Amino acid sequence: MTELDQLKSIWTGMEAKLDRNWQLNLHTLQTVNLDKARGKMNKLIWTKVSIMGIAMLFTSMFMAYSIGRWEVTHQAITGIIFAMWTFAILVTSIHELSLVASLDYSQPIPVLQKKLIEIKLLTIRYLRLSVWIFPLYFGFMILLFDLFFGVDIVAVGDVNWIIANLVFSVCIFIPAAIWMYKKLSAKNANKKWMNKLLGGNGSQIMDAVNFLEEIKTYEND
Amino acid sequence: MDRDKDTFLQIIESHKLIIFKVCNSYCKDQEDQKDLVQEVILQLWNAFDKYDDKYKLSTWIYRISLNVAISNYRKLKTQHKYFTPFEEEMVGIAEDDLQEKREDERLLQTFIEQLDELNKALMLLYLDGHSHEEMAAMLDISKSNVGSKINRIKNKLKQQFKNLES
Repeated sequence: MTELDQLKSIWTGMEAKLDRNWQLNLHTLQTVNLDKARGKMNKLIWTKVSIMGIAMLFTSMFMAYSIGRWEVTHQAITGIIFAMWTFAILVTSIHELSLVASLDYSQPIPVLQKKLIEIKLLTIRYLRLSVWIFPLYFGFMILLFDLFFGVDIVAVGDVNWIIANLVFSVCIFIPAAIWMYKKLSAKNANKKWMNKLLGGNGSQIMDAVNFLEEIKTYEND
Repeated sequence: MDRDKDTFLQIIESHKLIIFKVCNSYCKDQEDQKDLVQEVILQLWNAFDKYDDKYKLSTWIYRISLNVAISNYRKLKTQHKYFTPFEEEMVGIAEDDLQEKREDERLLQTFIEQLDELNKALMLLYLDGHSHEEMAAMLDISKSNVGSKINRIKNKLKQQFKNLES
């Protein structure tokens, strides 16, 4: 008996036991509504579509604001910066939606697994995008005062106060955002603070990163 | 081929051993195994409309079962994010008679359990007699890579069997 025959004979023996011990409940399968599962998947896709829709709406609103304030340079620039920020969120959400919609479990194993890992890691990309809101706080003030009170705070505000805010933003918030952006990486996912930010999914993210490395090694090995 | 539920159930019934083998190899806990069988069946049902009959049914079922088992094992998706668990049990598992298990079976099972997810998939496909070409397509690697990986796994296994004999 060859080595392969020997292995296959052991495997067949194990298979026979599985066939004996495991029973498929066909009656349940006949009566249960299997389409219930599809409903949940559709709901997930709709959630992603909603995020995409909101990001698209805000991008258009900021762009419209910019165009409307074209002659007031600082207001136009503020609108453009916010439009760029929401556009980055929009691009990420489109990418996420395309990944979720293209999930096909009959694809080759590494192909599908890499897609699932990519979806998992998008959480970090959203977190990284969110930190850029901090240096933009002064822009928010410009925008809110203009939209809600019709006041141009740059025009009416004290020059020293405006300069202080800009200096504060450039010297404190921009370096802080760069530092946070670098820290918010997958390799830090198992750290306590990052795990909290990830809603307790830190170990799963770490595992996904390790698995991605394993797949790459497997493909090239 | 009809794409209705009856046809689907017939296919599942005639290929259930593939699902059982994959779930048994990737899960140890009996309750998790039952959940995994359910998830594999639901994913097969989801993909049934898109099944391309130029591929063998067994290969298609193997691909989906392995993908679901690996992603479940790796918790790549949040539990129950994509699926609504059914209260009804789709599978019943009788207690395994441990006395009945031969030493070589125990060793093979332990060996398979020790393999990483991708090599485990390769081993299952190999033991089930899939061609190198089919395995290469399922794992998205070259045929020669399949050959060398199988040899490596077999050598390890041979060593373990030798250790058992000595």
